[in-house]
Amino acid sequence: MLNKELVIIGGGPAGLAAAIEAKKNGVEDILLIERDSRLGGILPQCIHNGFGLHVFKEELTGPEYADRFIKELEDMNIEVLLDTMVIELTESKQITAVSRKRGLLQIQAEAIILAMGCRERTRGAINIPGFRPAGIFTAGTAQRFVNIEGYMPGKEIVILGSGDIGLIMARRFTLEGAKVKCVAEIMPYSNGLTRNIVQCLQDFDIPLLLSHTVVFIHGNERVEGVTIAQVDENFKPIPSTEKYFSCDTLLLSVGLIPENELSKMADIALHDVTAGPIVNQRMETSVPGIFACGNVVHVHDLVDFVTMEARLAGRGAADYLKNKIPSSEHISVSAGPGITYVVPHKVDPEKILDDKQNFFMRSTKPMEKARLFIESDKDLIRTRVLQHVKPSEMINIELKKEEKV
Amino acid sequence: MEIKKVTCIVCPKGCLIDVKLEDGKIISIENYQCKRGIDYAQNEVLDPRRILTTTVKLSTGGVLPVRTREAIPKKYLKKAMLESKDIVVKPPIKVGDVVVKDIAGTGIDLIATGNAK
Repeated sequence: MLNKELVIIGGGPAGLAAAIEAKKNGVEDILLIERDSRLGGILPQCIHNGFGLHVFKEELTGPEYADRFIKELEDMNIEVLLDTMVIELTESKQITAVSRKRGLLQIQAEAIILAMGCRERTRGAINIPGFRPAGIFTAGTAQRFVNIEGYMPGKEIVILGSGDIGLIMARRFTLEGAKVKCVAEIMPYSNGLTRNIVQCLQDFDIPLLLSHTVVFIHGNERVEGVTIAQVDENFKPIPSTEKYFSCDTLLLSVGLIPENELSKMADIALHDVTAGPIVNQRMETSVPGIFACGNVVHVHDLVDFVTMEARLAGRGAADYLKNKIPSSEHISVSAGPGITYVVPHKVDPEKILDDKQNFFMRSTKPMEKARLFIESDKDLIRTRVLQHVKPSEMINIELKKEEKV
Repeated sequence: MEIKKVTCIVCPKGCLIDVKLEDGKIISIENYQCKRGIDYAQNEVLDPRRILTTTVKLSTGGVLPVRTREAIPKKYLKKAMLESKDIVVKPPIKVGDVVVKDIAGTGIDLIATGNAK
C-alpha cells in the first residue's frame, strides 16, 4: 500500500488546476491519476478558440489552455500516473487503481480531490425510435475522430441538440466540407452559448430548428435519414409536422452527465439536480477530506469557471491537510424560484477562504432583466439585476464575507 | 437608414447591439454594455473577422491542431481551409510555431496550438 498526502483523480482542467493550487499552498506529496494516455481531459480535442477569457484575459484554444497548465504542473514536479484508472474509492480514502504497466495499485490518501468530469448522454438516454445503423455518434466522439484521429465520420449530417459541442461540430464539419443539414433542438431556446449560435450556425447559414426533435432514424446498415417533427409544450411530437432529412450521420449533443460512480462507492452525498457531490464553501464533499471540482460537481459551460472552482478545491484540500478541522456549522444554500441549482450547496461562513465566496447557478429559463434575490431566513442580503440570463450560461455571483447574516 | 442587429460574441453575455447605417457608414451604435461591444459591432458590420481553427496532417500520422494567429476576414475562411488541406507538418513542433506563413494571402500566419514529438 502506497501512502500519499493528496491524490487527485482526473487530469483534465479541474484536476490540473487543483493539483497546481494545492502545491502552491504547501502540499508536497501529491499524486495525480489520469486514465487517458495524456493530460488535459477533453481540452486537446476542443481545438476551437474561446477559452481563457476570464483566467488569462486572452482568447486561447483548448489545447493551448491545457498546455499552460500541463507545463506548470511539470515545472512543479507533481507526480502523474497516466493510463491508470481508479476502479474503487472508499470513505476511508483508500484508492484502488489499475494500469497495464503497474498492475493493481492500492493507495491510502489523507485527502482526495475528485475531478473525473462528465460524459455525454447517448441515444439510449433519450430513446429515439428507429433502426440501429452505423452513423450515430455523440458530438464529443465525432469531435475526437475529426480533431485527434483525423477521420471524418460522415458527409451529410443532422445534429440533434444545440449543446455547445454540437454547435462547434456543426461549424467544424462545414469547414471540412461536409453538409450540415440542420440542428434540431427540443427546447424552445438553444442550449448553447450565444456566441456559438452566431459563429457556428449563423455564419454558415445552418438552420436551427427550435421545438423540434428526431422521431425516427432510417437506415439498416448505415444511417440514411431522419424524420424530424415539431413538438408541443409537453415535448410531444405534433402529428403532420414530420419532415424527412436525408443524411448519413446523426450527431447527438443532448447533454452531459457528471461521472460519479466513484463518489457513490465512497458514500458521498449527491445532489438531485446536479447529479454531482454536495459541496461546501471549499468544495469539500459530505466526506471530510474528500473534495470535488469541475464537471464532476456540475456541468460547466466555461472552462475558466472550472479552473476557478478547482483552485478553490486545491486550497481547500491544503487547508484541510494543515488544520484537519472539518467545517461544522453549515448554512444550507438553496435555489429559489427561477433558479435550478446553486453551488456550493452549503457554506460555513467562518471558514470562507479569502473572505469571499463565489456562487454558481443557472436560471430555469431565458429571462430579460431578471432580478436575483439573495436572502437569508432573516434578511435580504443583496439583489442584483441581470440583463440576460439563459439556462446554458452559468451565473456567477461573488459575496463578501461581511455580507453574511 | 438601415439598422443591423449584431449579436456580440466577445463574452458569453451575447448582447444584441443595434448598428445604424446610412449609405454604408455607421452613424450610431446602441444597446451595447461595454466598450469591447462597440468595437465588435463596428467590425462585424464593416469587416467581419474570425479566428480559424482547424487541423493539419502530421507526417507521423494523426493531426495537429492549428489556428490563425489573429482573426482573418470571414470571406477568406474557405480559401484558408483549402490551403491548409494539403499541408503536412513534420514533428517536432510546439505550441506557437508557425505552420503556414501568410495563409490565404491574409498576411496572417497559421500557428500550431498543440505539441507533437
